[in-house]
Amino acid sequence: MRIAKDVAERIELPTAKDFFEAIYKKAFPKTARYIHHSGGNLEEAKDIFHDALIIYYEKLVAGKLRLEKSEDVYILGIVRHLWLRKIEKLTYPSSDESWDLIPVYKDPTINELTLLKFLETAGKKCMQLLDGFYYKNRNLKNISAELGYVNEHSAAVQKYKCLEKIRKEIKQKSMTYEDFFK
Amino acid sequence: MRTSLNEISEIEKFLLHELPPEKQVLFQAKAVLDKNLKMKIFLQKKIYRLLDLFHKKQLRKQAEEVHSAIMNNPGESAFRAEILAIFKQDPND
Repeated sequence: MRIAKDVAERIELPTAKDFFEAIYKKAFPKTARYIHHSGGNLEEAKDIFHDALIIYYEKLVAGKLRLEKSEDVYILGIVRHLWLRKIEKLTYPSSDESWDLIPVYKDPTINELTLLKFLETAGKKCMQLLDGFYYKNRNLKNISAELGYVNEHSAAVQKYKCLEKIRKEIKQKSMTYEDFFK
Repeated sequence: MRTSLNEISEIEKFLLHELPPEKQVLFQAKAVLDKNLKMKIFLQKKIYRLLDLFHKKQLRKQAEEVHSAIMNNPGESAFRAEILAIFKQDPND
């Protein structure tokens, strides 16, 4: 789990959409060329590029980037790694330390996808609130102002109420303990 | 905050390793002895995993929207042509 935490208090970060728009035209042609020369098609280039953008953006928000290269070069590095991983179906250990910083994405299980689909409807409001808390670089002060809570304490209470509500909803799905391990 | 919410807050701190080391160990020991607490920790961990999936899905949707907007924007026809031309070339060139 990556949490933006105090990053918001230190620097102003672009929203994901603004960041994607800013980088797309600069970095996508490089990705397209690489994927094409590696035997991939446009759809595969787009998918891998989006994966790389997401990884890069999450690192940016989490304050985990030490940029020694330009953004597009870094993103192309992630693209190459993801492509090799996709083709070879294994994680490549490498002496280049930037490779070590790329997380292995764990594909969701069928149960997780079912739960996610359920929560996107039944627990939508809480999922969005928690998404703001943990991932969108918003601190308690910003969230309480945005959502109209009296103070930061009220926003924090709402966060824990949401965690409690989602926990209850997951339980109500009558999934057994063992189901989670499948 | 009511007790159940305080417990959720404590579980969060435990999962994020934000408790002082001695409290972290103590909480872990408590979970070994208390099956109910163990289940709550397990479910809360699952919630964070689902939130991660939820967040990635939102980001993917936004990336798709940006892709569509650029590739379908008449003002970006040169960019679109550049991308399409790449895939028309011989990959071995």
